[in-house]
Amino acid sequence: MPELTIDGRAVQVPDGTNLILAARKLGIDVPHFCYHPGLTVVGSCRMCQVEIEMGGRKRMDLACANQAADGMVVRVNTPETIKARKGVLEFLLMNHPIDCPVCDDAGECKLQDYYMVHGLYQNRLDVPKWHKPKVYSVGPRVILDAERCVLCSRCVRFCDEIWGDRQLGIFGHGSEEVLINYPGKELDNPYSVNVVDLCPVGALLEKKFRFQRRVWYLKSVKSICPRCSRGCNIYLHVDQDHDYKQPGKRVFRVKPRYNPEVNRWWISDRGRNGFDFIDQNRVGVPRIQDEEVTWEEALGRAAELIRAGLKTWGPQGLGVLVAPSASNEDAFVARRLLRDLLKLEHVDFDVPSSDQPQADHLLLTDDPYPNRQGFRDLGFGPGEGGMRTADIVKAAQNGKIKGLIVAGTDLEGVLGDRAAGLAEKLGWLICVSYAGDALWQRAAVGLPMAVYAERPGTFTNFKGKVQKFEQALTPFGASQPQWLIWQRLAQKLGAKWSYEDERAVFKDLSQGKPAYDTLDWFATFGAGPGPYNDNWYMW
Amino acid sequence: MLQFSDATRQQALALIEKYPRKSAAIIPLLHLAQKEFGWISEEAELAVAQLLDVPVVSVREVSGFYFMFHKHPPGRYHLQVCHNISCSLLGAETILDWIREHLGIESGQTTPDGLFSVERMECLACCDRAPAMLINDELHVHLTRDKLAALVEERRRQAPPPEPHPTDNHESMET
Repeated sequence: MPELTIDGRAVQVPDGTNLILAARKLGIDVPHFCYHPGLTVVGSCRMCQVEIEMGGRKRMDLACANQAADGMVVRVNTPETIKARKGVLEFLLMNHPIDCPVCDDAGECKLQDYYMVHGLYQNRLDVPKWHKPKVYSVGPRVILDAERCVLCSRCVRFCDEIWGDRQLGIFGHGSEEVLINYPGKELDNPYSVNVVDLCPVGALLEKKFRFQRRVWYLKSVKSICPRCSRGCNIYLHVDQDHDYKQPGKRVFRVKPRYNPEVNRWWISDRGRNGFDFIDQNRVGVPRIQDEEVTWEEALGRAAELIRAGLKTWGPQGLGVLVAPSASNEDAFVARRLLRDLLKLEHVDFDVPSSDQPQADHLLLTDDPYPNRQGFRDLGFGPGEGGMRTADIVKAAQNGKIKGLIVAGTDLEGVLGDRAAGLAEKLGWLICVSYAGDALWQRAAVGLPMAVYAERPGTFTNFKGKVQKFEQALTPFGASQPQWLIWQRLAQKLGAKWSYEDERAVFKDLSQGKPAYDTLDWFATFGAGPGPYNDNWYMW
Repeated sequence: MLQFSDATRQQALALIEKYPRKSAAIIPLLHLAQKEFGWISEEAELAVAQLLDVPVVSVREVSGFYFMFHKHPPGRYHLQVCHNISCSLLGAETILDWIREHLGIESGQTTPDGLFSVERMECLACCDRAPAMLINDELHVHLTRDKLAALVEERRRQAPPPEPHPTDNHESMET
């Protein structure tokens, strides 16, 4: 463990730590463009120059390409290093369009930030600027403005080293040098939008986010990606306060959150494009048949139907399907109601999805649901002699199951037109849903559910890691968290228990289960202590 | 699909042997390709990439960086005029002006008869004898407009009867 001095303060770091990370340990930011902890070091931007004194000799050198050594004295901010960085910035800005007012990256641009600190504020050039491709589509999800590019090659290295296919390159020479795709090749890998996070400037931008919101209006909330069973750590970027464009749109983008045990610095494009369901086709008012009613009325009616169903058809005549997109808290309370209280047998969570991810070597798994493992761990599933999903659906279609409760399932997506027919064959259908799909339209009782981003909770990923997501938004309309819907229904059906909030449910469900011990509800867990900030912008 | 001739292919394989990593042979192979095909087309890049087992993007990054690799079919006489500091101070721009005025071509262009093409070149390592230029592989130094006029006239006289321009071999060429 070498001990060195950085800007007058001593610090001890592990062997092999470079000077950018060593300085970060002291809270000192060494300006840099091309360095990224997840990629190889190239030292091409020359922005991280610091003064290094070692064995009585002083030199200016790169912080990214030099490792901490015992007795090293490093000075990050001296008149000389600041002058050197000013020089680098002057070159970078020589042909930069300086179009920050119309650039989506304004506010989270390293060039802009460093210029505010080191700027010359006076252009010394009187020759025209070079022009390069603008508004150029490099791939289906990413757009390029090559004039803003600082040629740091982070995106090139991402495609090469992390994804494994050279889809981008830096071509040409001198001022004509340009980052672009090879003719006929597209930046279309399933992780392509990571290059937008990596881009320190506004050269590579996400098409989906382009001109949607100024970044300083966005609130950043720690969350978990619900689009496959990996459980990548993310930030949801939401804005509920500026309704001037696209009213009703609240979630604007997803950014990765560093977690060395799960997703490191990356997330998939599937995860990034998977938040539309939060703001589209939502339902917010409980219904009995076609009529909008209060929660009390709807829950009362649902309890009535269940009670009557149990009496006439018995537990064998009822079936329940809950999609494992619900949290552990939802699954736990659902289990207490459906299995423990009502003693239902045909209860399952292994529902199919119409939106199947394709597993690959990086992050994506082939499971479309974020919490299947959690449902398993909590013992949610059919009782003895109970049927699994396929059989429950079949039994519902041929009239053996007369009452069906579905929660968050995508039966319409899987069954297509047959979903509507399924509802017609049943005695009744109780639908707990966030979307106004075909099943919701035909439900005897419709109970609107808050999506995962509208309440806190936990998911268990396919490796058994329990991870918490925070509440990012207020629930849509009068919708309520799924666990609360089950709880209120349970109370109508005679249950004596009740939980105050998600935390209370989690406390109960995690009792005596080591898998949940590592998780502290109040901690801002995720990356944990380490050299890397979990905020994507700080890398 | 453009293919190296057997002889060139053998030469290339021998070259590759000399390097610890195949990708290190990109520049020598690009020279071979240019000798064989006259210029570095996308197909030529692909042929090099396949021999070296590297992504074609890497070959383009190298070929695009060096002006000595022609991105268009050059004329019979390819004028490569240095425009770095010493040459520029001693009149490289007037040389390029003469070419524009008398041959009607800019850097990267070829005369319609296919006889001359011109490229702004990076340093030719002849700062002491600036301004300098290459005509194909010959070095010419201490250039003046008169000296250039004489060189061009001499080439025009020497030129054999017109033969097919190398562009004719490539479908992707503009005229």
